[in-house]
Amino acid sequence: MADDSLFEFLHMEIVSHIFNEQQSSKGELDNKDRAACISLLEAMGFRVGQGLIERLTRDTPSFKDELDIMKFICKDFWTKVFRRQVDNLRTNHQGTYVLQDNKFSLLTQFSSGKQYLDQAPKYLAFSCGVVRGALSNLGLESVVTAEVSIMPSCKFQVVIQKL
Amino acid sequence: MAVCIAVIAKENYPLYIRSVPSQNELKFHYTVHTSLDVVEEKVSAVGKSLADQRELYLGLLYPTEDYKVLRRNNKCVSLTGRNRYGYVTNSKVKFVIVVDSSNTSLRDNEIRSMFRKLHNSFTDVMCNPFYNPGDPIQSNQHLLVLTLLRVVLSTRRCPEILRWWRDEKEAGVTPCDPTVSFPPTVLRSKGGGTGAAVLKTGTGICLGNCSGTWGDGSHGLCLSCDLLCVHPCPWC
Repeated sequence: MADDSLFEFLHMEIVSHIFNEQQSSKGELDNKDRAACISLLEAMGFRVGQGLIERLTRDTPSFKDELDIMKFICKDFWTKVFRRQVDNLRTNHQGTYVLQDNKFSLLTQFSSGKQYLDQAPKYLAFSCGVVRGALSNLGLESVVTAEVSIMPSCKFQVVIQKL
Repeated sequence: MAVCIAVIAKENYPLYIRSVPSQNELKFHYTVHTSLDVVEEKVSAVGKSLADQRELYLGLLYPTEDYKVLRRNNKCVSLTGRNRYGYVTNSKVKFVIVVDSSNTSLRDNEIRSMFRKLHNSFTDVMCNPFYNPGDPIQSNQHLLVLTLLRVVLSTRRCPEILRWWRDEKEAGVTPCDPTVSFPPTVLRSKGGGTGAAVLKTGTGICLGNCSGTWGDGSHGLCLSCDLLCVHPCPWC
């Protein structure tokens, strides 16, 4: 298996590249541009999530229900992708799930504290996309958002869209 | 021998359908389409039951005038015509294989291994960054096509070779005997340029279960079959 730091470096570079590209063409970044960059990152993550889930669920038996799928995401999927399990899964049983990871692997390189809190969403967009892509390929359309209050712990909120 | 492999997307449109022979494709399209209902029924029936493990292999689907489809839960023996086998992945992509059941009766685990290979190739296609999920699967060079054709053809037993092997067996030749060479009238070497009449110089690996290699004289190709070249050792 490749070293984990390879992906971490790549991810950091992807984020900074996208923001630099946007900045060089537009000059100053306003909120709309920032949102565009974040959606781009999320879309990349989406495609990756789709492919990953196909590979990871190749041998697993089919899932009973939504909760089963979320548990799979929290345990096996999170282990394979982020090398740890989700610490806390909460749900309101109506399609909203909150996954809390106390030591998110893509945020461990940041210093804990308030200094870079506003930069954190940029680094979570790709992971949100991965989760959304994984769920989409398993048949659940969803909206995934992430928030950070204390580094490096973060919460992913998954809202399943009922058709 | 007629055979067809289909990959159907989640939304029930075909991503990939290939059949051998290439005539009568419409018939296969129709067959696969009708078997989709059966697949859906299977999947939803399984959801209601309290089985601990729901497997992905569905087995034979149902019998129709021409074709038979096996189901995993209640195995019915097919009578005539063609068997259809189904398989659903966790991402709700369905695979359907239609095979002729008249000459060879395929064992269950052979079908499963076919689906296994198919699933592996499909996973590789999904991971291809140039492939957008939901697009029809194209590309003749892609691994998927080759694997599928191999999978399909690996279950063929050329009657010419079978006849020859049967005679050899009666003469007391042991299986996969590396010293046995195919008679030049029956076989030719796989394309690859070396072009010897007897398969002593071809290269390749048996797609059956034994690990013999072509070129050791114990496996071969048939001159009369026009397709890709693999016939696994009939004793495997």
